[in-house]
Amino acid sequence: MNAAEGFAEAAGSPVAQKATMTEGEFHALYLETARPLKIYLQRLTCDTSVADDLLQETFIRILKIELPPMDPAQMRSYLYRTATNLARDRFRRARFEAPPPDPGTADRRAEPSHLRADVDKAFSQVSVRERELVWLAYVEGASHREIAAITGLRESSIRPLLYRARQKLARLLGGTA
Amino acid sequence: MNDHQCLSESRIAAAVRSGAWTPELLRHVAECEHCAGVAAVTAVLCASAAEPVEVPAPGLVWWKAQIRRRLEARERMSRPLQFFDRITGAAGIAAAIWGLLWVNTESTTLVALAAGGFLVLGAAAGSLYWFANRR
Repeated sequence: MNAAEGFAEAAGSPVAQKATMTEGEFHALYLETARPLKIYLQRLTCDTSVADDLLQETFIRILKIELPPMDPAQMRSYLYRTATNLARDRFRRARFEAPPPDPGTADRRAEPSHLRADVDKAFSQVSVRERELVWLAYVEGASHREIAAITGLRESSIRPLLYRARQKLARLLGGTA
Repeated sequence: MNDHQCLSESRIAAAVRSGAWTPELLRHVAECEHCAGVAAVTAVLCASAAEPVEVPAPGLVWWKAQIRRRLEARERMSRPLQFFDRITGAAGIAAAIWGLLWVNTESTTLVALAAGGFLVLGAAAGSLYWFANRR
């Protein structure tokens, strides 16, 4: 049983009738999820070009496999889980967590606002797990169960971890939050 | 309520995301330190998420996925050919060694043992390949 089947079975959906996505289905899914997923990956990796690579890789992976029927919430969770795992693989290969953005080499394709710069700086000083938890909970509105499914953590440990992550982030954001 | 939770936390975060504040939630966030913190962090993060971001066109990603699929299928199909290329190369070397032994030694036993050894190695390699690639 692969990860997609595990997701569907855990949610009570039938595992039979797998199929690869049609181009129309993919376009609809992509238009709905690509932008928030890219922002999530930017926050995780603190690097726009890496986030771009991971975004494309996530969708290419989804297109390669035959998926069981999933409702939109399950598909979203599966996408985020794939993206999260790819980001972690990237960190593992690089053997470091994303360093604070260097003003000399920062992404200059679009000048970030002060708010974005403050958030980027704060995020670069928390762990990858903390970034995942805070973003999924407060921006994406994921439930603790969904966060557990995406991150691989136990549902019971989400609440205290999230509390500590939020406290840390609030201190770093200082006067912004 | 304890330091790690407030039952209204998720509703407060949802209100920040949607902008739909009820009088009850406004009163609560003014009274609850935990939820006030949640509201503040959520507001900052959501504001930063609202900034413009570029994503590749869906057609481009779809096209890349199709190319990747074809390349991987081609690689899977060529794997047996690469394997048998190596086998024939090894068989050629083995035949040359066996030929040298046959010409240069009077021991037919040694020659026969060498031939048998090469056959066993070839069978083992073929079995390993089949085992590794069976569906």
